[in-house]
Amino acid sequence: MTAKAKKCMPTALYRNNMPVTYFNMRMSIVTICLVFIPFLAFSSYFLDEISRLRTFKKIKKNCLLLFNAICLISVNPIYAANPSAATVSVTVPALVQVSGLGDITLSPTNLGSPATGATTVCVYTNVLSPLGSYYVTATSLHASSGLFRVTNGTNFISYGAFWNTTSSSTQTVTLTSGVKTAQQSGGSNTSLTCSGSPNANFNISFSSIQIAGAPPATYSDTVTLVVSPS
Amino acid sequence: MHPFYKGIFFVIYLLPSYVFGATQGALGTTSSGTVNVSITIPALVQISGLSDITLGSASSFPAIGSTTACVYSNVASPLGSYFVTVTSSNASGGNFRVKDSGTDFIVYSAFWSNTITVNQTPPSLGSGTKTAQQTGGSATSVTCSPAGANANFSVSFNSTQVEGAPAAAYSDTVTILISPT
Repeated sequence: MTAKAKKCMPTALYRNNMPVTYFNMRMSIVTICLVFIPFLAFSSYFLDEISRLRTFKKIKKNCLLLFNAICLISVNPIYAANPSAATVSVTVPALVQVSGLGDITLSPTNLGSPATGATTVCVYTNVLSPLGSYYVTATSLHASSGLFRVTNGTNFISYGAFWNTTSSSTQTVTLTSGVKTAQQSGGSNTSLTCSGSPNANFNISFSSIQIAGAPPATYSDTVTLVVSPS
Repeated sequence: MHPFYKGIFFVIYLLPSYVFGATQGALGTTSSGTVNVSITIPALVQISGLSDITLGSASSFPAIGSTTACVYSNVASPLGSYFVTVTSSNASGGNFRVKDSGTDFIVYSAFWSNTITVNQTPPSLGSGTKTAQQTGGSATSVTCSPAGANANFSVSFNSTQVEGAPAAAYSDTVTILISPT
């Protein structure tokens, strides 16, 4: 098959995942080249000659109609031969999405209790076993040996980071920077937006001991949350 | 789009997310979002480890009592520095006073030391008056580990102060305020 013929080939007709038009298209091209083009040239010449006679005009018209019908029948088998053979195939892999994240800003005013903050999260996953399950890997931009850390450019403060499979900020799963958690559950398998109701929580905590060694300043970090199906 | 409007669009809609905002993940075989964490730590101080001072039945003077204290301060300049304001609940004219169950008062002297040792070198504290900047606070441990204490508050009753007081039990509550400035 020529490249031009391949380009003309319809791409949506398949049978058992294989195109069904290769043969039909090739035969149609051969038919057009060997039969109808000469026939067209001959008949045009012949009909022009005899059309000078008014009595043959009706014959010419009928011949042209017949010629058009033959052409349609010859070309359209590409489509007409397999009118119900189209098969659409798509494989949906395990897909996940994390969204609804917010920044966490803390301004502790005393050392009497830990400084805590949280953001709710929407996790979508189409993982089947178990339904709505996923894994989380949280990585601190300024991590050291798996510790989450904020920095002011000079000093560092380590802090605790936690994951919860509900929107609650209860510290249920302790995170280690860069380390994938065990399999989590509770992700939405029906809505990319969790229908507006978050289904997870990422939260952090600075203890007074962690804060104590740091001079006054604003410290920051960026935590990357990667949700994966496995 | 005109470059001017592109600039306006960028500043209003895109720049904040680049500079400030969390980013959201997209649907895929993995999905990644980011959370910006920020904590502003102000100058923080803490005093702890205080005990009551009970002189009992003082029969010799001056009668001295004290308690050690742990002061934490993250003030950077100088590191671990702080100020102290001590206030007597029965103060009068800046004087520390104890009071009996009636209407009698005894003036006493109060002192602050930035070590755990009693130091009653004058001048004494004035009730409600902030001291000069003190040093020696712990900048690393809210429990002043490992020593457990790094300051001392002491009181003194001399014979002159006691001589006019009727025999009775006298008490006072002293509030010690630590501040970074």
